[in-house]
Amino acid sequence: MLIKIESLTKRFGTATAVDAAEIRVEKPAMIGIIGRSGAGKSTLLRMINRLTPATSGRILVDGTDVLTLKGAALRRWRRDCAMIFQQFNLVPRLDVVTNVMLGRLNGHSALASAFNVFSEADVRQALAHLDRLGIAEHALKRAEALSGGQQQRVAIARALMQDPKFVLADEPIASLDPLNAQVVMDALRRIHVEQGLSVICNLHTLDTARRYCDRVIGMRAGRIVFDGPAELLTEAMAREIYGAGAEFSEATTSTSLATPFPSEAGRRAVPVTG
Amino acid sequence: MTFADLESEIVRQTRRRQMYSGLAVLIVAAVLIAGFDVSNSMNSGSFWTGLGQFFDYPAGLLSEAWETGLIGMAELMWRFLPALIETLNIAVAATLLGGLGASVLSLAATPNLGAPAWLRLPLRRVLDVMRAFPELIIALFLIFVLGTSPVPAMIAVAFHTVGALGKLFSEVNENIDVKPMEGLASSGASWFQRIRYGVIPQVAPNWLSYFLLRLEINVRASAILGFVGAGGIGTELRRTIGWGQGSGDETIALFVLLIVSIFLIDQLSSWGRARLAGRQGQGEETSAQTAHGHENRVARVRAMVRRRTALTVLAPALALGYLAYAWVAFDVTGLIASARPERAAILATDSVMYKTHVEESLRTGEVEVAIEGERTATYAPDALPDWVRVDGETWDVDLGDGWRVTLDGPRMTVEAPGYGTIRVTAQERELLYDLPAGPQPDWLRTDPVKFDMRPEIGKRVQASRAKFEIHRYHWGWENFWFPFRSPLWGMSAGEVWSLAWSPDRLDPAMSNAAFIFDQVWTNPDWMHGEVFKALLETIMMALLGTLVAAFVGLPLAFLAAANFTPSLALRFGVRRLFDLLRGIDMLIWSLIFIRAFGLGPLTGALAIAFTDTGSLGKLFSEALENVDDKQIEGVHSTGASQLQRYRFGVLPQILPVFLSQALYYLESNTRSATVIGALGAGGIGLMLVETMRTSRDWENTLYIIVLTILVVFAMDALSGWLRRRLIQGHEAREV
Repeated sequence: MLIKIESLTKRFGTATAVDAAEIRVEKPAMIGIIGRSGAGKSTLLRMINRLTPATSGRILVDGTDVLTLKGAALRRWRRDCAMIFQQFNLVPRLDVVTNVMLGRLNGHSALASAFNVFSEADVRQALAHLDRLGIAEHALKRAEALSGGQQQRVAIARALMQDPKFVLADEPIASLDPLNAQVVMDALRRIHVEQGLSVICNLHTLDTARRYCDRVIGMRAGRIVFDGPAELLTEAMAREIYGAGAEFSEATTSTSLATPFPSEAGRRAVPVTG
Repeated sequence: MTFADLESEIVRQTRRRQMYSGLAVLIVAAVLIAGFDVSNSMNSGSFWTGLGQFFDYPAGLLSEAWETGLIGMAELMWRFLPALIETLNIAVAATLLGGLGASVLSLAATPNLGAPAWLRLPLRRVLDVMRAFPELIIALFLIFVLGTSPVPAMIAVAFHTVGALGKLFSEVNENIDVKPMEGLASSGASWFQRIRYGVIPQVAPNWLSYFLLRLEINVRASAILGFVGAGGIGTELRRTIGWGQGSGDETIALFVLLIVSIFLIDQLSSWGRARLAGRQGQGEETSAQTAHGHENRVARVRAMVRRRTALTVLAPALALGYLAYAWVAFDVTGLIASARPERAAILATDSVMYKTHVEESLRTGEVEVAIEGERTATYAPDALPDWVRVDGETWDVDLGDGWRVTLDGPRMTVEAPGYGTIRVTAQERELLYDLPAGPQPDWLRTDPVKFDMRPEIGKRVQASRAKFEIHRYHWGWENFWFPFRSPLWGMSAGEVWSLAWSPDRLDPAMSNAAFIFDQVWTNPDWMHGEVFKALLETIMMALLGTLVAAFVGLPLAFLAAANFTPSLALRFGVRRLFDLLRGIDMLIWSLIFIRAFGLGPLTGALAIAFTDTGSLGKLFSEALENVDDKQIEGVHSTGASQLQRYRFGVLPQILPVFLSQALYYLESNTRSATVIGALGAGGIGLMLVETMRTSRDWENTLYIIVLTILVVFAMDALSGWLRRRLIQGHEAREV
């Protein structure tokens, strides 16, 4: 699947959140988008799924500009680009397996939706996804009863249930502790490797991007300032992306298990030398 | 700000606060005393004599019931069971329909659910109006059009329910988490699917809880509306009470049925609500703990999915089936067939137009011109309206738009534009016609004994062998300010204004301004004075009833709260007293008080006070049981006395609940007061029922309806404004 993003721009009043972004994805890849909070990473992802309307530009997917889609075609497109959220966005009072099956709503009629009708195939597939993510035993619990990491895995299962062409993940590990963060990132990586899907993942920590992604896109103040293989991301480049001075060190943006800081604290902490 | 400034500012504030508190206490006391005094003088029976008779009526009823014996009473109750079922059906059907309407409208009226603003904002207003609109008016209007049947009450209650539940539902909707909706949107779900799975599961428990609470309220409302002719147990009660002595056993049987069913429904509903509340806290009730085999798990999930599908199909199917049953039970088909929509049309035109009659008696040959054909509003022969001309024996009446009627003894000529000239001659035995050639239009009826034409709603000509009658309609309310015979009649506003300041007195006994006011106030057609007195009575009922209920309910609530009254027996007693006051219900209280105290605001106020002491007392005691002990402990630790602990440790905590609930009840009691009035307590409700029953002049009815709605809306707005002011004020600065 060929995705070509051309001069995609989003303005909120006078502020420009995303400034003429250009991205090409020619073969399935695991792409990490990094940058500081407010760099425009979320807006970029949300524009691709059309949750946020774009101000101008084009997103060409196999030749079609998805920004022009409406109604049923738009909903079909959303199903193709499954989205995972920082806050999981599950329905808290529904049980886990139903939450997963909700990924299939796009194929369902209004009548079937009104009366809670799901087929056996839906049930089997939902349980298979949950099983692969290691949370099948929670299938009948309410989503709100699960831990954050478990809920994010439910969200991933729902995304997979959509049979997506690729997966967008908006800060999937920002609300999780390091151990759960690793489980979730491993799961996303596996989706890319095993199913050959592109995964575009917003991360605000550099080391996670380095560790899991083949390609890294760096954003600063709405502009794409770096786009290339993770190995080419030098420390100078990282400084440029994070807008930090000479005191910048990679440890400040780390979420790896080795650091004592949880992700949020780590990002805000004073630089650690060494 | 220096320390000294701050100090003086604090002292000033403390003084101001003390002054406000004192002022509030004084105002409430003044309203209570003055209100009691005014209501007492307005009431047809006085409070003190009524007090002595208070038990006479219930005692008389009870002794009759005693004579009938247990078996006889059981038989009576069995006989009245269908009436009770009808009332319950009205309530359940109205709650179902109202709940359905409220769900749909509230989803469309809530800002965060994606409905467009052009739809959302008008919908909110619609919900407000539906909520504030007095049920009584809708019920009476529909009874007039549809005839006596449970359906008018059902529609009236459902209408109000849409507004009341719609408001509560949208408050629930506003507080949901929108992230699930976004999650569903990102996976390609349609708007309907997002609402279905992203919103409904979140709001369902609270919606259901409000729905059950509304069902309780609607059972009472349906019983009361029966009393004004909407069928069910209320209608039976009116009949047995109307018969007076000898049917006391039946009245008691109906009372018992009503009280027991209200009690049962309340219990059922609070049990249901408690269950819903309990379920919200849990979350792990269903879990597949042990690691079953994969197939086993698939089977379990499939069973769960199938069960849930069955449930979601079954619930609406049951509701639909019930509504179908109600359709049959209420005989809606027959009702539609026998409905008289033309009465609605008559009502609509008649309430905004008036007609002037030109009438020739063929026996005497005399012609009279009178507004609404009334003797008191007959034009003098030398002061006819300009569209009537006399020339000797010939009368020329201009109906406008080229329509013209000439009366000349027994001959009448009608110029009909587009048709021709119609000539009618009255003879001893029959009417003779000379009609234009061509087909006869359908607005014209020419029988040998009756001529009738009404080409437009504002023009009508009739003839019989005894008289010719011409009606010309005019927009507006005739003689609204001054009666026909008044010297002020027909004057323009400017003339009246300058007359008011003129020193030349029309009536030597009073100034012109006073005279003008007197002429308006005592207008015999519109009875402005009477109407305003009735409105005042209704407001008094609501105000006095709510105030008494709030101030009696509060101290009693302390006795019913577990953390303030250790004595189980006392607590139990007070709680049952609340249940009794609430359970007997406003309808029965009103009927008893009307017997003891006669017509008037005092009667209505007492009925409201009794019922709501129970309701408010219960609410306050629940609020008291939820107060934070730490604050009281803190005050206690400073060595405060018991009274001081209540004043500074407890009162600030429950004051917002107290105020908001009291004001909320005030607003709903203004509506109730119109209904109680219609039962016979007086006020605007009774006046409305009476003008509707005589149905002579619909403009009077419309006038009263408009005033009633304005008063209810005004009270609604006032209470809402006060509630916002007081409660926000208290949040900003502590009491």
